[in-house]
Amino acid sequence: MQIQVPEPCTVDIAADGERHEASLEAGTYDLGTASPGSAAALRHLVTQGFATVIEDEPGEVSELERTTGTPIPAGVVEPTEEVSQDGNSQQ
Amino acid sequence: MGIPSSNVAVAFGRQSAVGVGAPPTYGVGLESGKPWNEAIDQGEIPLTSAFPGFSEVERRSVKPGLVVPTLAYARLAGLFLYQLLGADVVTGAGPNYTHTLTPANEPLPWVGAAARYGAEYAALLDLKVDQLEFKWAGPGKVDMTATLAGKTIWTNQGSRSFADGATTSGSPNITSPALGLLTQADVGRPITGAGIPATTAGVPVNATATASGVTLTLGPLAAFNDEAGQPYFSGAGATFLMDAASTTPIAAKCQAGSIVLKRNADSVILAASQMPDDIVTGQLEIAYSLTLVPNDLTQWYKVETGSGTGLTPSGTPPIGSADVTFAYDTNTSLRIFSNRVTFLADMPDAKPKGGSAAVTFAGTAFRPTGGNIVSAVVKNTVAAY
Repeated sequence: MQIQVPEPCTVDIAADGERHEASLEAGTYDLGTASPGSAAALRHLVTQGFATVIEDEPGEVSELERTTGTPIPAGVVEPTEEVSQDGNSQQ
Repeated sequence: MGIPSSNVAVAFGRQSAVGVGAPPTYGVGLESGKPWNEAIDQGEIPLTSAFPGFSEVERRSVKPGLVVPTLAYARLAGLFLYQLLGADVVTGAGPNYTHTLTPANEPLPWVGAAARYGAEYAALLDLKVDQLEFKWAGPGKVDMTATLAGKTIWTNQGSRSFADGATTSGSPNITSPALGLLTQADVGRPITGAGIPATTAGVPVNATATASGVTLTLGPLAAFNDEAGQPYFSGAGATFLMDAASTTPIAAKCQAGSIVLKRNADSVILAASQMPDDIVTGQLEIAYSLTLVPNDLTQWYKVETGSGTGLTPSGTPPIGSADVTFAYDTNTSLRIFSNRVTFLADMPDAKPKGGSAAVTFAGTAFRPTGGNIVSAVVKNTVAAY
């Protein structure tokens, strides 16, 4: 997954039970090859609107699929099935 | 001579890690309160006795902390919001930076504090902000009150000294067995001793403890930095937006108000010690209180009916929003906003002597799907906390 960071920034966040600090220059970053700290920072930038996802590379697990753990059929943007907290499937 | 109660100040800094002292970077005076405190839980043990009176007493816990009512200084407000919320994205170029602060889960950063009360000193380590309040009334100052809970406190910790701090001229290192007396709480604190000259070539010499050793600096060194003269926020020039039934807030004629961010920090006491083993935060709660002098009751109708033109009470709470910005100048501002807020408001009182009716809208923020329960944007001169 390629992520476009439009302006230089520093990111100081908590992720995966640790604190991460990263200084990022403007440019395009590959989430798959970024260090854990930089990857966490990039994900945070995307969720907060500071960076944009360019595209998923062919064969790569999409960010949505990675975070939800639900396989996403081609052409479908949202997961088709959710599992509620009581374990029952919901359509 | 008594203890001068006006000679009181507290300075805060961000710790690099838990247990590691922080340079006291942002020092402020207090409007009231206490520069440090310890909540001591102790009391008698109920026992029967052959003779009248209590016979046994125990100390169950000691929880260090402090309540800091001061002005909403731009740099310190950013530090407190950073610690309480936990995520910071810094953009912009020096000397002006924009911090976009959003909620994060643990682990949150730690802050340390150096405090003085007259000639008495204390160092507090491993603090987390339990509650942060911004309060204003009219165009004057915005009051900022931070309530912090900590793990560790040392009292009577002023400038530390050691008697045999021998140093070799020209050597960058100070070697002394007495340096073993220094602890992490000494980080950022001046050190004096026989091995450290007061001046060299007429220039003051200062030794300061760092996280990894001792640093000698030339020139005057304040006990801690002072925010006096630094920008602080006021009601004048502020922008107040709210809507009781829309996620897009609109301009509101605000007279007074407050924003309270609460992190529900819990001091964890284990059986092995009366001192906290950890400070663990809980639910993040955001409360807005905006006292408006409205032109009409449209917002009140929105609270009751969900619409400015509604006729009957709504069975569901309308979703509103709030957005408050205090601006010192174009490079220095504080904005706090939430776009999912439920408000309540009482009808304004009837007043025989007249005057404009004031309506206080009390709002609680809720987390929107995929969004932040609150966001804060702080513009100041701090490159990174």
